[in-house]
Amino acid sequence: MAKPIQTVVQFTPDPQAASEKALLRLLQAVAEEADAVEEALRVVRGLHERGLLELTAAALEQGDDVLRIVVEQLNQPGAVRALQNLVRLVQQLEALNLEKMGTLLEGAANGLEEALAQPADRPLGVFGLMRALADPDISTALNALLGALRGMGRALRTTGKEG
Amino acid sequence: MALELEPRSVTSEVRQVTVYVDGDPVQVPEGTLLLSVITERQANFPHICYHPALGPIETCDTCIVEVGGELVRACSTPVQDGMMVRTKSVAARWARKEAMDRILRNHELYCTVCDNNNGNCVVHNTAMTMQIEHQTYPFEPKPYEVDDSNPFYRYDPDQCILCGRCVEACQNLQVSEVLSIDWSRERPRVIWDNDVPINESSCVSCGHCVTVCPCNALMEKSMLGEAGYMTGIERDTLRGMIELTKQVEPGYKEIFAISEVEAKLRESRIQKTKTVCTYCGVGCSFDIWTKGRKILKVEPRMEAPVNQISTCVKGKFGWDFVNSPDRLTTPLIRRGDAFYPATWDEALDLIAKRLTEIRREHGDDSIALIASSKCTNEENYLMQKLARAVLHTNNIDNCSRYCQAPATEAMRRTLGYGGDSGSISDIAQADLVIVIGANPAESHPVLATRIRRAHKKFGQKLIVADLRKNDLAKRADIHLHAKPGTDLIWLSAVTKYLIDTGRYDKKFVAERVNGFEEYVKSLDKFTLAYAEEMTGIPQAQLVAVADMIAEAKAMCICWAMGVTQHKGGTDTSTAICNLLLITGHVGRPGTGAYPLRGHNNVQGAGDFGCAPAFMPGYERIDNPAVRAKWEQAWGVELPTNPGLDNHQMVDAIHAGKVRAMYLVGEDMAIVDSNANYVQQAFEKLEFFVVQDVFFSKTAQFADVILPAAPSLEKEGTFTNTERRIQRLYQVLEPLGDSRPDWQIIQDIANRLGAHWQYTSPREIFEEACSITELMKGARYDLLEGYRSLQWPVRADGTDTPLLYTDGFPTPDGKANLRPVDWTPPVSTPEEYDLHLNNGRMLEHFHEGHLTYRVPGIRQKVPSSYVEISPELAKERGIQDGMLVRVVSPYGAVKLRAVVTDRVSGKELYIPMNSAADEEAVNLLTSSESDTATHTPAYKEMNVRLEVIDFKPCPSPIVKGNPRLGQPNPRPGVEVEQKWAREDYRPLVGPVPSGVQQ
Repeated sequence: MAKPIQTVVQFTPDPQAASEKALLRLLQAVAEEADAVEEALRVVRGLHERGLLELTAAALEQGDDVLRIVVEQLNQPGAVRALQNLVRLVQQLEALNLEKMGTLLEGAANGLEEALAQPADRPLGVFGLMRALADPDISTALNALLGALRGMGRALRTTGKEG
Repeated sequence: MALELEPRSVTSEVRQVTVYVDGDPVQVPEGTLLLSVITERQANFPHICYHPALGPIETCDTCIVEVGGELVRACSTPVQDGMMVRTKSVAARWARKEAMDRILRNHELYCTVCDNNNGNCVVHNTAMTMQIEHQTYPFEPKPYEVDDSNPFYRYDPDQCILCGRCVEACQNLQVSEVLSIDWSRERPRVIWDNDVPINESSCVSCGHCVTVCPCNALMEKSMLGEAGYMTGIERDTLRGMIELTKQVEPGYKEIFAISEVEAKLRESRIQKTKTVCTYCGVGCSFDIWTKGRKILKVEPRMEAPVNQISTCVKGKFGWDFVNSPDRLTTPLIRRGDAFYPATWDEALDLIAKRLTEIRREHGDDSIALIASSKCTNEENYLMQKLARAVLHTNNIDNCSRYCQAPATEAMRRTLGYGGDSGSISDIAQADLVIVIGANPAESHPVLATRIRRAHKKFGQKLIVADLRKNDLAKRADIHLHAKPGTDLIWLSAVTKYLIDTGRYDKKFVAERVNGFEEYVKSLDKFTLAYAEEMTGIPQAQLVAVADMIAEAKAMCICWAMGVTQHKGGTDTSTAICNLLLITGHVGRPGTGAYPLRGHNNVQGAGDFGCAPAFMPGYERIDNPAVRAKWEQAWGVELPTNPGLDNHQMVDAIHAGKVRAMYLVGEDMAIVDSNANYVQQAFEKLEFFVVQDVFFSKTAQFADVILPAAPSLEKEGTFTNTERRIQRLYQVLEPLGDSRPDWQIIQDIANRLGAHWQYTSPREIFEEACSITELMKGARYDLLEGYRSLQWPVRADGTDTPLLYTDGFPTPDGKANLRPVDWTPPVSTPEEYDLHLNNGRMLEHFHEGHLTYRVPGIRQKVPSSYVEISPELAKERGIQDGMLVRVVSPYGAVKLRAVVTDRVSGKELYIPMNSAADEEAVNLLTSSESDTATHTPAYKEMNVRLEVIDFKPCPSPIVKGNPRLGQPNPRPGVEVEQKWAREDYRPLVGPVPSGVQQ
């Protein structure tokens, strides 16, 4: 014998119970991920000590304005040019074959170390230089250098013609 | 996978031909489009405007190849035997690059800060795979503002590449005929109707255009500023970022690289989950994109077996109700004159205690259960198992009693199975479709698109019999307007006329049908003259209908509530089946009987046993062998008393026989006929449990209200109108303390001592199907993702998209003609001088609990109304917006008037989707019902109309309602107009001489 009713008594949620429930959930989550949380805390401590946390917080709080200013500044002619240069530099770096560069740089470093280990007591002199040219190691290195110079020269001459 | 909408040639065999793609021979069926041959082999071969659901549009020119010295569009070139195709020739590559350049003049690439950068942007992907580095023609903005007016989507002309996919989808797939491209402007653009803001056009917000847009020109508003990591930025700042990116990026390669990374990152926070729509029985499926609890968008996919990329406004944009603050999130218990929140344990304990007490005192059959056609198959199975195996009663029913029980019964009587004879693709393939008492454009929108497309593009004939001049009626070749409730008469007369003139399928009748002679005899009185007199349809029109039927090679008949919700609902449905049998339009592709199921799981609720006389799989409970089988499977003794259906339950409550009720997911207090009588019954219940997503009118009568989870928050399966079982996956967690219905039903069963241990819907489904004969082989792994099964499903898992191809499931394998007679409709005293019709409107679902809680839908259609014909309005001095009272012998409602020629003469129409309980049309309807199935005769009521206030008021059809728009039908994109422009230089044709090969 129930008349239709629309009244629903809403319990005002007990704030203390609700926060206890939330805390419990959080504690469980922390316990499950104890290692990760500890590590995260170390990262946070580091960021805090160096003031980075404060900086990030400020940047986030002013998010839209900061982004607007950054974009405005970056849109200035000078900044655009700088960015273009940066992009080109990155593109050039892409062109280098790092594996080969690695071998080259390693070799150069070894040579340098050898040279430092046995410092020359007197100047090399013209004959010393000619003798050195006969050394297959030096010859190979010079060939490589000359190749690089040839490439640069060609690039320079082509640009010059067009200009 | 192309859309199966074109009439399929049933007999002719397709010849295999050989084409040479870049020298390699490929065997394909003759007539295959070259583009699909190429993309099979080169997945990255460019193309933008072609979409498999739309076919060739020919606007973008990006798929050009060289065939025998000619440049052609691969998308529109059918293959021929021996064709030599060069995709990589210089001329072809140059043409494609030039085409892409022209596109990029119309589209600014700022992918990383674009909300459409989700890995599926066609323009982005095509430009990237074509390795576009620079563009020849700089991007030029168009002189038009963004159109933000529609609540669901926006159009940005600056980003629009004018490919015309949206136009083709609107004109020829959805066939709302709203969008077109105005090619005559200096800068063409897409326009709505005759160039009005989107929200003032006839756009029905179905979402097709947004779904097919290959870029970000048309976007769901719910995506904007949400999908990307950097897209929620203030507009001016964003503009600055786009400018900056363009200045410093040396080419597009870098833009693509960064945006690819960003798109990848989005995947970690955007979830894409397949679900099945709950807004009608068509059974559309799609992915829902969510970020946390926020619904970003609905993304239909070509794999979806029913709808592919089609949706309606509710399926595409109608899901925000899941986050409504009105959701029930905790159990409520009635104490005195208020409901108090309770824990699940308190609520379940109380339910178990009271049900047990009442059962002990008044017997098993003092309890009744009502399941829901909105719930899953698994949940319906558990409801009837709870009733029969735990509470020991057959008092179990569901709300398909309100709509489709007569159709099911009629088909079972005549054809054998209580389900649609074929698939929606059969309706699309038919060369004649008859729609009776149905308004698919509003009630089954995606199914209606298939009929409209076939009618517009492929010459399908259409006959509509309806009181209202609804969307399909306006398009029909013949619109029959019979006097209310007389469909059986004209159907019988047309059938008789076909037989009398010898134009019926004699071979089919002789070989596959029983009862012909007796049936013919029963038609004696249904002469054309009698039919004209009784129905008001001129004889000439009936003859035209018969002629059209006689000419049809494949005919489908679709029907719905306009047939079933009558005292003679089952008989009229039977007359439809009889006509199909006489003309032999059953058991072949493109033929059959299609009662259009109204809710997502009307079919499934019946299939899984939520009806008093039937166990799952329509196995009769009064058959001892059936009972023995289920008793063994469940390990219980089953009740033998015949159970009560919904209609009988209400009477039984009034009679004091039913004392307690457990009702799931149905607002019976306003959706059952004669609502006042039903509500009085609920007041008499000793104990009433209501389980729902919202605090419904019915819930107001409850003793315990249980918060259920809607479809997006649970798993399970639904069965659509084509008997197609489809899986839905959980998109969101249940809100608050709400729970999936199957868990709640199990909890109640276990509190009553059942010891059920289902841990997932899969276990429930596989238990149910394995016991039935009808769905024996149905398993979840066969339904993975977008896969589906149409019952009957044999033990080996093979299903049956088309029924009766090799006989009927009757003892002798033949169908049965069943003589039926006309039942005059409900009569009322003379003062009730107007006929009241009712039904759905496109934007809202059922009683409106879900859709009125979707802000965009509510903005477009904020309330119900009563439609009045111009003649009646003139006679009574009624204008749009006037407040009127509609009075029947059973009750009265107050509504605002809409004067429209959708209704005629003395016929009124009230949408059943009322925004307020006191406007519910069922306060006016009676308790009369179909004689065979007790489906209420909702469609048989007479009323009188009183004008409360002659003061003119704004119309309830508000700005933004698509009914105010003026559609702009076009054949399609009309690309010829683009080609005729002075600034268009053709890219196809003979390869220019001098081009290096």
